[in-house]
Amino acid sequence: MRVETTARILMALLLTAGLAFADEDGVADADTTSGTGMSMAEMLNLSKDVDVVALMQDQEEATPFIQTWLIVPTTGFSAKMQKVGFSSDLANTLTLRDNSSLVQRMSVKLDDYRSQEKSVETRSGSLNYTSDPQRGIVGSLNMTDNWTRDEVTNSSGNTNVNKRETRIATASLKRKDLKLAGVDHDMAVNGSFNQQLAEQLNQRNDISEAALDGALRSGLQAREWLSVHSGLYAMTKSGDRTLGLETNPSSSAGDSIRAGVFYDKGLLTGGMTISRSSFNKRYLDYRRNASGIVDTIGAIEKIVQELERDDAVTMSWENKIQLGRLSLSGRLSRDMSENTYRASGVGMRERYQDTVDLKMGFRPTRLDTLNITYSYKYKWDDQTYKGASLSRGRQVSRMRNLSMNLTHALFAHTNLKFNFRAGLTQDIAEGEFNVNDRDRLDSSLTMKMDTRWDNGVNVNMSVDARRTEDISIRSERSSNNSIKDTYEISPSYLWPVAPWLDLNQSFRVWIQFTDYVFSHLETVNKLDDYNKRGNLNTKVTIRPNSRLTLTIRHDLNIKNNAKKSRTDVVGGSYYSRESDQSVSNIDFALSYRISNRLSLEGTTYRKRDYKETFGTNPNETERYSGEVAVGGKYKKEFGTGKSLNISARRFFANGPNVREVNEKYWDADIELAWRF
Amino acid sequence: MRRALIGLILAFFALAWSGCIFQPRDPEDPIGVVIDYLPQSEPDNVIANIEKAMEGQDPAGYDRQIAEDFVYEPDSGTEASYPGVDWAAWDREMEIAFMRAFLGNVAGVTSDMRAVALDTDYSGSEAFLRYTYSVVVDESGSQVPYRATVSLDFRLDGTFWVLYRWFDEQGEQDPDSGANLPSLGQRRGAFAAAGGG
Repeated sequence: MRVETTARILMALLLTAGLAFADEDGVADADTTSGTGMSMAEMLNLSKDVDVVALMQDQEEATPFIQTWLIVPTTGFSAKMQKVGFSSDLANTLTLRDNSSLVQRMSVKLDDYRSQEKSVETRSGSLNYTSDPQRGIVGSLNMTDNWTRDEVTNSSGNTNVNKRETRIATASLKRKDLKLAGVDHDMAVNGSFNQQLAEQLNQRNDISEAALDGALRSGLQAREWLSVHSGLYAMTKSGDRTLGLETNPSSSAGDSIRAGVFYDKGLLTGGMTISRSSFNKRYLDYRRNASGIVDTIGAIEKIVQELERDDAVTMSWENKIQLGRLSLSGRLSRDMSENTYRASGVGMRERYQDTVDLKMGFRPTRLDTLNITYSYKYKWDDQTYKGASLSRGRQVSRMRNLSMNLTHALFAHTNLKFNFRAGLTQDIAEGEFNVNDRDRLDSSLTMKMDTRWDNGVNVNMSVDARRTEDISIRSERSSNNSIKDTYEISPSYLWPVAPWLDLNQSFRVWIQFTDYVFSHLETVNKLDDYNKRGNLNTKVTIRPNSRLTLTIRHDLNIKNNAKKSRTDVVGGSYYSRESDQSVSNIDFALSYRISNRLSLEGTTYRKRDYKETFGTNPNETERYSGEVAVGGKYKKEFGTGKSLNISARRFFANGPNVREVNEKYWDADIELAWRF
Repeated sequence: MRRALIGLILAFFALAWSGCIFQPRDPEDPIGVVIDYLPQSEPDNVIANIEKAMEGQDPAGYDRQIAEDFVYEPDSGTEASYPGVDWAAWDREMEIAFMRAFLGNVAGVTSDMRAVALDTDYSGSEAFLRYTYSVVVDESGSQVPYRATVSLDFRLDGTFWVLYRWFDEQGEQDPDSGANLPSLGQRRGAFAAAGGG
């Protein structure tokens, strides 16, 4: 404030001096002095006698208190297959003379579900004030009010209503780039008040709490190549919570500390960080079981006073080395946490995680790029249920992933890419859940060739081999273990034949063999099988003129299933056909732009689904379905930020099981935005 | 030199593909039940497979029934109970993580996804089915019942039907006791709230 006053006095002095000089030059519009001129002594005298307050008022009158005021109302209506909705928003944004800003928003939304007896209504309002962000200390005040009402009637005719209103007021002060003893600091202090009035599961759920938190971030540039950073955060909260018919005091307190060292010297770039956080929370909660699920059915005590404690530590080290065409980077991290509940059946949970990520990038030649990544994650969690003396046992998960990519510029406009990926996930449980131990191995080898000619022709070819092994380790679950091998080839092209005609075609054929690991055992009644699939997709886009676009698309999908019937003496396998299926779909879409604002659209499709099954009960089904949609779009802009968008389409569906409600329906959106 | 280097890299790729990098553990000979999944040629078969995967506690079998762009939408009771969960971000990856944790940490599951049939709507490449499901979970020595009305949306992906939207509309009443039961969304909420995924 003192700085501002000093600046204004200085400005007043300069203005006075300027006026005096203007008078001397004889170019002043209005002479405020008597006589034809002033001596230097008079001038100095005038500057001393000037009414600073009056000048400041004049200056303020010249600059209005409200610099800009933006009013943006928007409203929208939508009618879709699942729900009909209405929404309306009003936002007022004011920029004030001192560069501070005041933002107020209000919104109303209503959704009515078509298939269910469900409606959701929301209303919200907010007011935000932020002081000049250019100043050293930035303050802000934020108030929000959110109201929601969700009403659903279940199939028994019972109506459940969930209502909630939350009011939050927050005041913040931030000081950035404060330098003390050679160390840069950022500070923030926040105070808030939170009130919730809610009715959930036919019970009151009210909160009334005040919170205060503060954070300090510091950074020191110790050397040109070395910097040290730290962070401190602390918070406290207290108030009352009402759950059902009980009201009790609630509180929480917590702190966290973080430190890091970062370097960038020569070939090495990286840093190490460590952080620790701790929180205690007391609140009313529903009774929960060992899985953390609300479990009040048949319980005498449905509401409990909970005390939750969380402690967590995270450490990480990251490093990167650049050696000519070779770059190496790595990241090591460790996370540990402990979470305890006094009342919940969850009891105590412990978590631990180690992660290693390694990357190598290499350009062996001008035409080749090689990238290799390896990641390893080892994690476990353990739980000691409430009241138990022993833990349930660790549930360990190990994940390893290796990926290699080689890109080779084959010739002009053509790249050849090889990719290999292997990932193994292992679940290992101690104790009662050991029966669920399983491994999953995914590996794939892919070759892709992409050609992009200057005339817009794109040709792609992809060859892919993939193996997935789902292996349950324990005997109780291992009957279903399988290995799936998939081989795929898929060429495609896009050919812009003429400026008005595009032709796009893709073909994909693949076969997947499923080998049940224990299918040779009599107790496992499973037969190895395969399924062959082929897709041919063709799309033709015609633009006879700038207004009309026609799109014709045909998709043909064929599938054959077969089960292994026998294996001959030399190991050859014989399969018997189980089913054939072909799905053919033709789409036709038309778009006609009548003017820049109005366009008409029409789409239709016809689908044939034919299926034939073989064996002891042969069967044949043929199913036709289709849909026609007609509509249009209207878009008008009335200047900057003022627009009206309307789109409406009428659908007519047919098919073997189309319900009456979806046989004919509208899909419409109307949105009006108006910025003042 | 260059060709030798590229050849070496390709040889390494081929070696890696042959299975020398990672190996799963050897499984024990089976004594448990065989899960006989149905071909995914009908939406009803997909629902039957979901029931089989839950009862057989086979998350890999469940994964195959859901689409790449799978979404889960909770009922309002679940949403109110877990307001901090980002439900809009619940995708296939989250669903798979949840199912692995859920099926891996309970003693048993009894699943009837089609306890009450409400609506059926096929339009060729899409199907919208509504049921009231009933799922009972054995855990911690007791049985926890779940019952809710659900909208299940299916899509024909090539020639395979897959589930792409699971919308728990509302928890339903126990037909025997009349008690209001929660949807399976409550388990998803507890999983997400405990930092799952």
